[in-house]
Amino acid sequence: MSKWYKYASPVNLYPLASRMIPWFAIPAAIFFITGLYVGFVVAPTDFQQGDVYRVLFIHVPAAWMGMFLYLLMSIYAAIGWAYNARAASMMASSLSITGAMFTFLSLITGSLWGKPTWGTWWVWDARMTSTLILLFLYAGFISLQSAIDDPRRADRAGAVLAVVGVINLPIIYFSVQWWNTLHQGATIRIVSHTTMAAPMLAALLIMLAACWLYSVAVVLSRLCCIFVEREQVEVIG
Amino acid sequence: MNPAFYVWGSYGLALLAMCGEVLALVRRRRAVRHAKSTERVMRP
Repeated sequence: MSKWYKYASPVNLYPLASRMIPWFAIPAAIFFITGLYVGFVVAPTDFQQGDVYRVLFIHVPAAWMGMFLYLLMSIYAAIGWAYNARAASMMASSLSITGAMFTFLSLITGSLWGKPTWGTWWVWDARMTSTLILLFLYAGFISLQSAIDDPRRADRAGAVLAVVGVINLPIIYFSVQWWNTLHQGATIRIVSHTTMAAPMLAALLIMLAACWLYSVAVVLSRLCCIFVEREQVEVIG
Repeated sequence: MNPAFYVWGSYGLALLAMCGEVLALVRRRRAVRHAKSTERVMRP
């Protein structure tokens, strides 16, 4: 166990993180190509929505990643705040930009899917509004971090916002059950049978894996930059 | 509007966002390396 504690120090984590980047970046590219092939070539055209439903192969993974990265960001920010662990706070900073990018992407692609299927770009629906609030939380976290000169104070201020903002995650997830929304309910369920055709589900899951691998690669890469900027570590590679 | 507009619009934006993020990271890495090497030269 003590072997893992040494990675709480940026000096020890930096070489490991920089070595791990290609192990996630290369599979991410392979998964994206496979996911696009399955999504555009193998998956059949939907009998109701036509080809527009293919937007969901990027919209759904982006929305899931936006929420998942926020959860991770708040956990790391809380660890950094509670235990004064610099590496955890830096990880939270690194996660914030990719999480914001995926949340922004989920809102834009959702809008592009909504126009031909619902007939509108945007409605102040509970799911969409709470996802917009998630984007504002990310923006607030990033702004707070860049507005405060002292990195330790910036980490603490960001951690407070990140931890308070976690309350928004169950609101996003359960919004389609708690309120009568235009956004449809969950199609993929862990406990019961999913209502999606197998090739469509495969494309969605491959794209999700690709987005996850991409996130790990860019977050680690950004973490290495933060380590070099904020800590006295030597550049590798 | 043609459904292809919405589909390619979505994937085009996704590609732009991800490539933009990667490009920004590459530039940041370069800047960090440059700053480090300059610091090393300046140090007595």
